[in-house]
Amino acid sequence: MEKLQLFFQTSPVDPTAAGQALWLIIALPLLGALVTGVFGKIIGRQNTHLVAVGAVGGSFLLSLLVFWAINDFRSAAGSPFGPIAYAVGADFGTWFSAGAFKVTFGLTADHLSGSMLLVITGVGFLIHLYSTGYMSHDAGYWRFFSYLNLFIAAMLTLVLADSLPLLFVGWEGVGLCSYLLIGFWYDDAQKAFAGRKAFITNRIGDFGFLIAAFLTVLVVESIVQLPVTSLSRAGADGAMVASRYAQGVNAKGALSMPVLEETARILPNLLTQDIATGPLTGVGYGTALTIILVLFLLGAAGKSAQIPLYVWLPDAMAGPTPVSALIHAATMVTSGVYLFCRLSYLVVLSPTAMAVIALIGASTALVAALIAFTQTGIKKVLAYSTVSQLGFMFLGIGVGAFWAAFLHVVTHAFFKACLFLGAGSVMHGNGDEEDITRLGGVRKEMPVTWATFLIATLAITGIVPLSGFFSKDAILHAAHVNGIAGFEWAGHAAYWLGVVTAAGTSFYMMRLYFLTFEGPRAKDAKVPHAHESSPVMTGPLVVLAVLSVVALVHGLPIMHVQRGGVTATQALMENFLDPVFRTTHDLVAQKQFLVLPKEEHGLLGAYVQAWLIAVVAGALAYWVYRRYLPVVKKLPAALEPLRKLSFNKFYVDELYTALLVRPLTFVARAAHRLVDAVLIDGVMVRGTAWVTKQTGAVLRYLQTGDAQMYAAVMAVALAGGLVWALLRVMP
Amino acid sequence: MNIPHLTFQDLLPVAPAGVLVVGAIVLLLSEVFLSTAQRTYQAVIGTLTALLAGAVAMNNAFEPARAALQGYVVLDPFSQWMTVLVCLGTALASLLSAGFLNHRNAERGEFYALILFSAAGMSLLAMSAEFITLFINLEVLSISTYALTAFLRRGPRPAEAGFKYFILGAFSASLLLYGAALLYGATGSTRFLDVGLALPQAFAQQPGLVYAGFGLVLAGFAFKVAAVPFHMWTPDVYEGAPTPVTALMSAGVKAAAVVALVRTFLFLVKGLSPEVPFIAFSALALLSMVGGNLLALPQRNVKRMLAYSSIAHAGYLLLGVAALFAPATAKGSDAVGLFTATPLLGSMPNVAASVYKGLLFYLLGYTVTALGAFGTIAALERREDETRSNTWDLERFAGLAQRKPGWAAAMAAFMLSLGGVPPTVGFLGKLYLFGAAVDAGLLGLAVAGVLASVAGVYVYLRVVVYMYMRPAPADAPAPFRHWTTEVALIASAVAVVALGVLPGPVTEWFSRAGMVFGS
Repeated sequence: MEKLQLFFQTSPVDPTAAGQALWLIIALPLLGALVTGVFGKIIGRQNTHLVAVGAVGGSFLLSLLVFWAINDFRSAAGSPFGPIAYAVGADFGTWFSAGAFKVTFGLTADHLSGSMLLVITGVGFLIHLYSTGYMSHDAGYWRFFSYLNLFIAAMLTLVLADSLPLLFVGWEGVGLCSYLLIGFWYDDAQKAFAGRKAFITNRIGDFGFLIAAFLTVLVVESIVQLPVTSLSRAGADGAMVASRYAQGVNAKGALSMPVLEETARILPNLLTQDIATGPLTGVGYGTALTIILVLFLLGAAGKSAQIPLYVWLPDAMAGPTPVSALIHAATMVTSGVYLFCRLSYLVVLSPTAMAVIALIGASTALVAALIAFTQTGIKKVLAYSTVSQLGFMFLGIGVGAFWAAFLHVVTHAFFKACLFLGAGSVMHGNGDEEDITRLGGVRKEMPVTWATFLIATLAITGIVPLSGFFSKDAILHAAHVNGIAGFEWAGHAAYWLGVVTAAGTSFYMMRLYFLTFEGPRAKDAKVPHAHESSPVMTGPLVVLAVLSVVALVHGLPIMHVQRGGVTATQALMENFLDPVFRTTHDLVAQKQFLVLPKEEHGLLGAYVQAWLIAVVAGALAYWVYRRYLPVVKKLPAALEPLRKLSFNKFYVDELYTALLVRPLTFVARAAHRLVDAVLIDGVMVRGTAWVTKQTGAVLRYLQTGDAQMYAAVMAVALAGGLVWALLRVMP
Repeated sequence: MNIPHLTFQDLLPVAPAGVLVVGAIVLLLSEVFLSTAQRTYQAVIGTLTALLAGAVAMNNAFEPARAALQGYVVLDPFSQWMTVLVCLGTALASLLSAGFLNHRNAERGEFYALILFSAAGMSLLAMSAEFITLFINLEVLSISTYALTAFLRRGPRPAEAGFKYFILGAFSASLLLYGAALLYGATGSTRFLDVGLALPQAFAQQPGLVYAGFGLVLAGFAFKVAAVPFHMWTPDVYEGAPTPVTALMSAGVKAAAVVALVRTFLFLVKGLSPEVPFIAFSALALLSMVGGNLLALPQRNVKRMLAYSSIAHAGYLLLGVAALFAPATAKGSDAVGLFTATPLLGSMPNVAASVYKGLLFYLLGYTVTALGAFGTIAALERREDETRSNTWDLERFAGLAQRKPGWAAAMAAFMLSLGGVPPTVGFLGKLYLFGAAVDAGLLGLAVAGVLASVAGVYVYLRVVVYMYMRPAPADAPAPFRHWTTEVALIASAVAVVALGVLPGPVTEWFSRAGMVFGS
């Protein structure tokens, strides 16, 4: 065991060199995107596959090396506030600067981004592989792989960035690729519209992100201006804090992660003070921080499909299924969770923000689960399930269980990618049939798809001992025992919402499974017999199904650490992410905004509870959809309005259309007709041009061609000038 | 007679002009001793001479600034780089002329000799530091160009152009001479150094006399750079002259005149109340920028349009000059007006270096662009309809992109460069000049210039529209082809784009060596 540990902790690559080479991980898929995008049509389908899959595969191998390097106890990333242990990174100099504000181009991989690296490139590799089969008949294959590679590059930029602006580059990049891929079949108006909806909804979130980043700059700059005496942090005196902070801001820029982390360490003693300089003068630091976090939440809600911006994700299923698996389940949509894990040190300083995040997450989870009850599209159900699971992750963030939320990101990436690819395989084998009521009995005809889909379904329902149980249980456990100072009720509410959602998850996922795979084949099925997909598609399914099971080791409470003389038991993932969340833990201990339980509860009770919930709800689904409904044919009349409400997604889209889209469209139309067409085009553009031209035409008549006249003009001009000059000297 | 002791160091600044003159004499003699029908070699000799002179000047350009020939001329990087530009323009103009003259059976050694003499005049004008030298060199330059303007002697147009140019040129030269005489009367010297030293006292005693001299000299220069309202000869002369000569006039003469103007007035402003030269230059710049662009708008005649455009470009150059003479203590410095300097940083920065760099870079850009543009026009002219009025009509360019995509692309690059659209050299030139003007606080004037140049973009883009979006007329003549023309056009097109993308080394030279003697 110890030898194994030592093996993992001794990287074959020098950690410093690994840090310097981080850009290669991004550059490979970027190059792939360029080659497939520009030359894809020329080099042919096979070579395009080779380049695209090879680029991501190479990126995956590099990520493995980097991951090894950050496990090395010698690894340390440079930072103005001392080296960061268990991380590698490099700063490639100033990216841009404006006045005192600057942004450096720096990349850092620590245990958090390192894990994301493996998920992105690993799952990305499998999905690329799967796509070579899935997209084998599509004429736009080169475009598809170019976008997909570009997406990987952008997502890697997002997680490797060591400053918010660079992170935002990745953030926008993945949004762009998502838009391009949702509307991949753009000649279908419906699909192009879905792409646009995703893009616009995301832009609303990005607006929040940007404002939050701007406010952060103002806060950081106001701290730089503070007198030395008012600065302090654990372990350093005011003068040292001030000089180090100013140097750090100067060297790395106000929005770099090390500076933000140091800001979090300084903030606890400032929270009740008012900002003294800059545009935010008079606002309390605590209030400003809460506003910033809520705005970041808006940004994350756009990207990670939370209330109120979740509406784009279900529509995003218009894209090819591998895209749904990669972007809209495994990676991009979790970037909001990643962002909050990155900024966890700021989150734990604002109980209000924590309560808001927890409640938003829990409500999203429940609402999405309720909608998923009645959807009939196989991908629609999975999409709402994704929204619901993302809600769980935000719930975890809100109650301070960052590692659990992140563990759910990882496990969810495996089982949801497996589910989506499984759904794609089902559709591929059934003549692109998406409606689960017109499937059924697929189990025997598609054994591999069936087995992997079942495993992934069990994983998401949270049945012990699959991986989904451990991550979801860790979140719910934290919601149960952690208290948000001043907002205990929010924690409790979130917990109960979460438990109900967990039962709901089990119900709708088992419904999906039973309708699709069990029972007799539907009479109105498109093709009488399904056919199993090719190995290039089932291979990734098997790998992902295995991973959905194996990922459970991350949740096993097998690590024992000494904390203040007490031996605490930690889950593997919790222990692994400990270096990332060290500042966060310190701040929790210092400010007590998050009340942690004094002693560990027994876990067995929770296991039994989760098992019971999953099994009961699953059994209910079996009874309803395989025993009750096939016999009585329709729901009791009392339930019909509820079904309708859920089936129509609570009419949220209609509400948004009526409240926002219509009025905005009206204003835009009016502005176009009046301001644009009349004022700008008519008066300003054409009018200016007309006046200018007429002036030129008039001036032209002065040009008579008469040399005497020319000389006279010169003489008059000279005389005028001389008179003017002479008048200046004459009193 | 008192013969001054001259050393090699004294002759260094005039060496490029010497090379040009020797080349011109060789060409004149070639006309006597060789009489082959094929005379392209004369163009080649002219080009090579110009390039050799340019190389000599470039070598000089890294010498430190100093007075030479007893203070009658100066050796400084500003004038030597200008000589390089003039030689570049002369080389391109010689190449363009070969095909043009060949097409018209007018190839003569005198033509190239005149071009070289005129280039020598430009080079010497730029380095003159004494009124008599200045005047003689101005006349060397002018008389050569008068002759070149009327060189073709066919039809009424060249004769009219040559005559008008001569009359008005003589008028303006006499103004300059009169101004110089008044200043000599006020200061007792013709050497700029001495004039500059004596001016403060002279101004205190005789302000009217000094102002009169100042204004007359300025009018003489304004004529040469074709600044509004001393511009009226420009369209007529530019239209009537052989197109390659027009190209040389618009680029070379203007460059030499601007440099000589800067040199002269660096000395002449000493002791004067600083607003007077500033307002004088600002007014000339404003009128030229606005007037040139507005007058170009209704023109359908492309050659005339480019003549007006050259007036506008003179205005941009004068904007840089105005920035140079912006008063150090701005009066009412919080107000932004057309004739006020409002430095953004509160205090007046030293913009001289960036103005010199901007002027040189702008002139370089304008030289390659204007020669290319006029060269394209020259290639599209037909000898048969020289006397008709539609020779240079926009219709000539209709559908050029389908007929000759390469030519159209080159012409489009020239037009975009004249309009100041990136990634061409014209954009960077404007950027440097306007940047310097804004640094000096000439906000109102810079805004007016930018607005005027927006109107200019219409003019240039119209040519592009005709080339790319109008069908070619059925009887459209093919441009005549001559390898020299093509070499010149390719060279200028490449320079326009390459300098627009990678200005690095050139701006490095200009900014390192952009100092001026006496500043």
